[in-house]
Amino acid sequence: MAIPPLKIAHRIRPKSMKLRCIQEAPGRVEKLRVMLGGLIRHERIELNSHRAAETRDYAERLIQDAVLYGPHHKRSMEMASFWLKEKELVHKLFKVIAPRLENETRGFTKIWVLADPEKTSYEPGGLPGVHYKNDWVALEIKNNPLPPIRPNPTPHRSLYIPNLLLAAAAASIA
Amino acid sequence: MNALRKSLLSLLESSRNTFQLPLPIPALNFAALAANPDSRSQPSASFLDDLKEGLLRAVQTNRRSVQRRQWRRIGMPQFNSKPRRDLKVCIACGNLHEAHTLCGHCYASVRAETEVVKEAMSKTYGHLKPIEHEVVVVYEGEAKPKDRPEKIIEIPKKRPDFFAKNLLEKENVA
Repeated sequence: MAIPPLKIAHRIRPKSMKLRCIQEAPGRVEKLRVMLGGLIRHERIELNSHRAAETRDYAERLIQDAVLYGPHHKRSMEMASFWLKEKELVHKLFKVIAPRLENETRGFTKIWVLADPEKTSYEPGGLPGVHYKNDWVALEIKNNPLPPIRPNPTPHRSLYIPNLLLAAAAASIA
Repeated sequence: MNALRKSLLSLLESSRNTFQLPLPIPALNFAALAANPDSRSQPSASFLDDLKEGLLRAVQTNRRSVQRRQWRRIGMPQFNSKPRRDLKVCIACGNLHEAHTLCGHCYASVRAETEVVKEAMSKTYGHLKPIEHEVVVVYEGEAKPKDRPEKIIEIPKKRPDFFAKNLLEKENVA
């Protein structure tokens, strides 16, 4: 039986995941397992964009199989128990996340591009900090219980502060 | 300076010998000048007479600082410096952020709250127990859902308001 395609086809640019000090293929798989476990456990993780793109595709596959076939499907369960090392997360995938996202039509995960952090660490005597640039994202599972990240919604034009002030001034004159 | 003039004279002599040049015009006849030092005091119409008193050019007397040099360089047209057009002002807090990223100032408060909730979640779920239920975050002064399978996380503080809802009203007024 053909495996159904993902609901969102992500295009991964062929770039390195910037993994250090690992063996070639097994180390990469091991790192992907760690990141997937973190994503399923915490529902939102921060990582660099290339790791996020890879991890996102694996997570989409796991969640979609869990939603479509359920825990009694052999291949889905094998996949889940291979990629999630902690077995409590397999329970979470099938019992918590799959029911939550069963009506989702546009993918199960979301990536937010984060701003550069302040570079305090480059200053002499500054605190040790992060050394990345333009490469830091937050990867989350949708409908999670964490405080929501949302870009600031653009208010109506009448609610802009200059327009409010102008309206108040006009009212005071009239 | 005297040594320089001597070396210049010798150079001229040697070049005349090697290339079989004709004798120089009287104004360039350094050999004659060197042999007859009294002629130096006499005024001459040629601009080349400056050579009699040594070579002097306008030179820089003070060092330009690095900042000043860079400032001059950036002003040059080939440096091709342009103002950034990809910055946006966050509507909620007024800080600048790049157009493709989240506002860092707003996200910092979201992340701080996320860490609190994540810690509470991991305590609620425990270690090595199957995760079978959703989580509901309840802040201080909020109603708890009753007769529901969700696990309740109580956080002993008020739900954070990251910004004022109505700018026309004064807050913290007794």
